[in-house]
Amino acid sequence: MNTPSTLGDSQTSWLQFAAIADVDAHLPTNEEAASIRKSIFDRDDGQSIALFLLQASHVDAYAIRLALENDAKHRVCLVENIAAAQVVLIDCDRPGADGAMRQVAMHGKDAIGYASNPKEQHKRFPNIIVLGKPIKIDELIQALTLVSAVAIKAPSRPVEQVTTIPKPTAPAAAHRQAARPFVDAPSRFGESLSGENIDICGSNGDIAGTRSGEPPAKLFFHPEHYLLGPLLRAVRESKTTGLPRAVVGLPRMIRVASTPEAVCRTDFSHNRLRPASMTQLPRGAVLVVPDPGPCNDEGKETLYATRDLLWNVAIWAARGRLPKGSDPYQPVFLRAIPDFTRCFAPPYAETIATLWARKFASPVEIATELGIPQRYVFAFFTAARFAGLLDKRADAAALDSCQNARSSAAPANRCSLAFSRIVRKLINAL
Amino acid sequence: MRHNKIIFSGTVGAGKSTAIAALSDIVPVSTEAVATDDTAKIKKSTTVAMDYGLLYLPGGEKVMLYGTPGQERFSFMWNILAEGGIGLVLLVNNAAPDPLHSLEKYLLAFKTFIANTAVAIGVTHMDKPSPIGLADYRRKVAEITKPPVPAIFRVDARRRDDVAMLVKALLYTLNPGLSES
Repeated sequence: MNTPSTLGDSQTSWLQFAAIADVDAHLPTNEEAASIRKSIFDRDDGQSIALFLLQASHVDAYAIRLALENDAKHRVCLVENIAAAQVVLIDCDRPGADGAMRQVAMHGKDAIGYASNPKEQHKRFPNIIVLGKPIKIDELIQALTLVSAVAIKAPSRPVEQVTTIPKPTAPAAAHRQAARPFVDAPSRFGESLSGENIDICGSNGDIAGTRSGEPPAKLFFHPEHYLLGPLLRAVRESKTTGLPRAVVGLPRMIRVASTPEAVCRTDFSHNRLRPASMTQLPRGAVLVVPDPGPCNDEGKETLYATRDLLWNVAIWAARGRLPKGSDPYQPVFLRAIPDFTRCFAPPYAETIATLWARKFASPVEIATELGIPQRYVFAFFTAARFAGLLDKRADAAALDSCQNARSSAAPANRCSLAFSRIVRKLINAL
Repeated sequence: MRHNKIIFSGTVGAGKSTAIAALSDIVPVSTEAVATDDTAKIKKSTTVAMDYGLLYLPGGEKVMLYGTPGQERFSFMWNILAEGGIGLVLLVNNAAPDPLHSLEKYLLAFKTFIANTAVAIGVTHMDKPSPIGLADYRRKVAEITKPPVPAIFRVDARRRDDVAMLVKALLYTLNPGLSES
């Protein structure tokens, strides 16, 4: 395989998807790829690659748009219909992915997929590159480069050639779908097909229950690559200096104050803050500066307790991972149950919180005790750490007291069925 | 058939009646009377005996929501209403004078009940300027009770989601292994 080695710095991911994208016949040489990449990255001729998002959730669409605006504004432009696109990006995890592929094939466009499990989806769609979730903008640009290179090498690709996309396994289903080819036609760019909850804690598998070698690198993320890093810096600077700070560089500003109380003000709506927190940001794109004061639409600003905002931004950035440098086997103690009326509660958050407030345990131990996937506990751990709710030491008296609390709570287990029904009633599940 | 009973208590004007109304499947039964003492400065009427709401569960099971009067002169009702309850939702009005002292009073008044069950604390009126934040409540509770510190949430008693989250926290305190599915 001709694996371009000069296409950016996230080599592991790049190699991963390059390996998945087994399209040797069309791959350019290293020199060609570098040349094409240069032409895309450095172009200032006003031309850009027209990209259409098909099957993308609202969150993904927003995150991709934001990242492209920040990092590749003049190189990639999002278009609102497939006819105007050069390349189509498809969420392969969505139910209508097969229909989307057919739609792309019918239009004779190039496609790139993305999925939680790219290897698995590549088996399903072997003719396209499948990127992993969460999608990284540099990988996307690299994939666009590659697809452009393939297109350049085979510029007159006939429409029929792309109709070799694998058919559904059940012939009857294939027939039904062929009879109504656009029944699964996805929404326009930006429209949600729901299911965004899939993105909350990622899809990482569990690590070993006991320490055995280094945990996999993909378990960790670097806060500085996300909004979380600059926000944390702003909070620290404001606390140290006593002066308000602002996080700038995103479509909306976040103003941070430490006195008289630790609060943040932003005109980011909740719906926009989440994708902004999940997006990997180009280095230096987001800055911490002295607070320039209220912006024009001050009345629209939402006030957050700093801890709550840090919790939310951290949990969205984490997506089931741990911040770099943390130890999944290190026992910690939850100092207080997060304010879940204001903090985003991922799956199992209440049960994790209650247990961790009573037990000095590592994230892995908590997951084991509750019998839940570790990624939910890792997400919780990350948020709690940035919200300042974790203690690395627990005093013996507190532990004894918690142990007693656990023992006295045991008889309540008899009522667990009734309590579970009440909980389900409270979340409108009944 | 066993019916579960959750107690709502707390300071005058904290929003106990409102919280029960937000959560209840029936129009709550209330015993409101015109406020004549200091309470009249806060609101026109006040609960003098109890509030009563219901949550219906499948199979005819019910969860009864009892609200106590906030005024201390009706405190004889507190123990009566709390008997047989599975836990206490304690609401504190952050805009009242010295809310931390009020919190302490209520925690001590329900000390035995809490020791045998559990408590979840909701702080209301936190949208109004106040030097007291959640961390102060956590510190105060840690001084009074033994660890683990119970759930302490900011609550808008008019919002069902907030009240439901508080009751959920109470139930998880009673049994961390509860299932939502």
